[in-house]
Amino acid sequence: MHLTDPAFIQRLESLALLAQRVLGGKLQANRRTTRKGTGVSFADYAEYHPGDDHRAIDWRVYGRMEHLVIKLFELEEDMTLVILLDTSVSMQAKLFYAKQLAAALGFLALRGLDRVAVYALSSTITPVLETSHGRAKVMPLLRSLESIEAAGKASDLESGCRTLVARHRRRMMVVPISDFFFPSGFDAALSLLRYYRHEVFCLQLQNETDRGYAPRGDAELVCVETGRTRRVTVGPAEAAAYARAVEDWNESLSHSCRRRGVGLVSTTSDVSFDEVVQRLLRRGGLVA
Amino acid sequence: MTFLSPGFLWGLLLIAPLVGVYLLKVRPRRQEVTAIFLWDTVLTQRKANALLQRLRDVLSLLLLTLAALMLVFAAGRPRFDEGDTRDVLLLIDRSVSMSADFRDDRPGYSRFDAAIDRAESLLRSLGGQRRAAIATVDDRLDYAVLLTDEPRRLREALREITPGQLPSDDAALMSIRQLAGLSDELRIILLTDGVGVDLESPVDTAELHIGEHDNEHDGENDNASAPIGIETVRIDEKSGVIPENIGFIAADMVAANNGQTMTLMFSIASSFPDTVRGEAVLTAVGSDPDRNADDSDGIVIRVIPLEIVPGVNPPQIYGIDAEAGRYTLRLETLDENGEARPDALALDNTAYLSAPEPRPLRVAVDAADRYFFETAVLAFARSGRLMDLIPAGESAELAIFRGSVSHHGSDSAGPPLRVVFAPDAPGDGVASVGEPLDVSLPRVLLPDHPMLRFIPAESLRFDGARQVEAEAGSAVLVADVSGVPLIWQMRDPDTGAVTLLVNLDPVAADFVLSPYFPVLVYATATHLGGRTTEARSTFATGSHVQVPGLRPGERAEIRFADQTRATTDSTQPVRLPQAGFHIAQTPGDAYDLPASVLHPTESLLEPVTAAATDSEVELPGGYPPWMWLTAIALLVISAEEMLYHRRKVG
Repeated sequence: MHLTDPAFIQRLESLALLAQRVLGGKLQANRRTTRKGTGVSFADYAEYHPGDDHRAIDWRVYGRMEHLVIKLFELEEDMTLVILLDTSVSMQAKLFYAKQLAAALGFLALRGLDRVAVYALSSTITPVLETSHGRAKVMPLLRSLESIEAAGKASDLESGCRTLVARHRRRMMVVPISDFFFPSGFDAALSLLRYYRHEVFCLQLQNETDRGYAPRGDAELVCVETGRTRRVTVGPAEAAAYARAVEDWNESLSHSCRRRGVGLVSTTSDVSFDEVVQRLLRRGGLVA
Repeated sequence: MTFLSPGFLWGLLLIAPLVGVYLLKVRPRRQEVTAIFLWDTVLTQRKANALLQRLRDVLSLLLLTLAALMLVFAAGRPRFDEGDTRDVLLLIDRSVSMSADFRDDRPGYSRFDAAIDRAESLLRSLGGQRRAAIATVDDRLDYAVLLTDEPRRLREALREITPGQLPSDDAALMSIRQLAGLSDELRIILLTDGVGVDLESPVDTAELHIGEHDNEHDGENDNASAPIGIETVRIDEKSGVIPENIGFIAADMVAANNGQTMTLMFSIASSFPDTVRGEAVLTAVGSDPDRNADDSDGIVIRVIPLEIVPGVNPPQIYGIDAEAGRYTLRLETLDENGEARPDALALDNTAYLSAPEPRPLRVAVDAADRYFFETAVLAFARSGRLMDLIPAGESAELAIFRGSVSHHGSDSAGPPLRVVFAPDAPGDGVASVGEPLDVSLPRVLLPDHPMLRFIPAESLRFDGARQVEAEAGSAVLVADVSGVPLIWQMRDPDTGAVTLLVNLDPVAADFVLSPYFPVLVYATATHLGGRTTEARSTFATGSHVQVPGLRPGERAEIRFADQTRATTDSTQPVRLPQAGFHIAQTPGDAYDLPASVLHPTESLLEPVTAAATDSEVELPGGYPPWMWLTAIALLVISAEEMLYHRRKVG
């Protein structure tokens, strides 16, 4: 199956309809921000200061209270959704699934008239789809995703994020899609993104092989990304210890996300991507 | 240490490639992982096992190399007993006494079983490094397997040996002595209980303790003049203690009063130290040939209480009111409560007896001076009904003539058996008759002929002899110095009639008055009538018995007690190998040939050979070095396999 197959696109359309129903039809640039500005939705009152737009003065309040206040409106702006798709070799087995998720998120964003950018993440980030806008960019998005191949050295989320924040000054929503097996960790990257007030939503994608080690006995473990080898004898104790280590690693990711207000969805590749997206939508979108 | 197959040591060259193969085998499979840094964490926590893990590979390689070395050495058949490369002849005594219980506390385990176990141990120790042969000894030497170095053949041969019911015999011992002198390269080991085995006289036996043998024959202490010995190993539990046993050593049962009653005679030997009570039970058994040793449903004729003294008891004779037929005489030992108590050897507790109906030889006399001839026949007719005199002209089995058959025969063919004294005309064994002959020095040409058993033919006076010439094909028993036949036998190939001719005139020489005349008549009649073997009520096992009633040229089928069959003729006696009722079927009749274990030496269980007892002999038992090496190598491989298993499946 290809991402550009009509059947796949039809599934994306179904997801969009579901999103409309779930989000109450407010897909059009409806990403609310905490900044107050010149939107149409009333947000609050503020004391008038010289220089403020006098058109914002609420004369009815002045008539009752003889005090000048101005109405503040929520700034409704289009959001830039940046998808960081981990394309390191460790994602080889899960890459198509990851691309499906990225396609679904990108599709929904483009349908909501948001801006979408896609980067391939390995030791650094490589633009796959420059910041795009509008429904006409759906097919370029899908084609771009389809052209991604797993390659490169070990992924470095922090390095990629540094490059990303340097490129995009505007606030954005960053969605890393990865197994999050970053040897250098993920804490620094999440802190960095949050420091620049970007929204972050982590999509952790693992399979059974990642979560446990089935083979037993002597083995020469080869890191698929770095090529580094290590000889081990895996017995039940070692296998259990490895499973515990993976569990601890995932738990630390979950803890780190909670601490920083970062959304997180962990899934395995045996769960249908539609289901994952629906779960996201039912949680209220990618808003943390 | 030497190697029996040093060529296999070239296998050491295979060690290097084997190490290579091992290294390839234990090379871990490559496994791609996505988070090796997590493995680093895991393995850092389990660092304590790292040293063992590294050593494990080295240890595993060392174990495998060691195992390979041991296997190569095992294939080379190492031998530590340098110097003794002799072949081994294993002699196993299977005489009657070997069936005695080996230990009181282990019923059913006989000395023979102990000997077989000991032989197996000995064969194991040879381990195919030396050739070995197995033979059994009782009344003769029988080879179970000839010299071979195949352990399997030796084991199979050993398994097929069964205990016998025959006594040890001097002839077998002589054969062993001859074997011992044949070659220095043959080591003879005799496993025996020593009963009836006297290897020390007249040839000295070098008693060599097995295992110490080499030392005694090597080096300066070797006595070159010492005879080649037979290493005897005593198989009995306690040296010097004779097991308690009683058994028949003689038994007989004959018809008395012209067949109306029976006379039973038996004798018993006891190895009990004291007088013991017992009883002999006489049971009449049927004549069913398929149940010829079974007296379970027989009729008890008489129970005879006995007081049995130690040693050989005097014979006991009883008159039994019974008829001719088959009987078993069973001996039971009783304890103080009157209960039966087992003894060491059960085989000698039963005698198999058969009292046959008298079957006299019907003899007719056709001679001018018939009185003396008839008197001689009647003498044996009154005594045991060996012969019956019938009137001339009636159908007789044997006829006695004086002159020639052709002159006095009642019919043209005549009786099948004829004795002709003083032949005076050609025909029936006589080619020509000449002048009277003065016999000065008779020569016995066939001294072992049964007819001459009781006749001193050299001292007979052949008065009335004539110059005769025997017909071609005659067997001359006695002749004079000039070759004139004096006693000869002729068999007519056409009619089958057998004629014995005696070239003397018993009347003219007053030979009829000699005590040898009736003896001569008896000898010729029993020989020609096939009655040289007395119809005895029982024979000792191992006896060689001529089938009664079997005439020259006839064959008899023997049905042994164990239901095996054989055939024989009048020239070949039958060996009775086991106790029981054997049956000889001749063309004319069927004869019982009962056999019983009647051997005083075997029943008394008193060893003759004062060989080293089993407990004193240091036997090289156990397994050969190559087997140990192989076993250890397999253990080592198993241990390595466990290590490898851990590496393979964790």
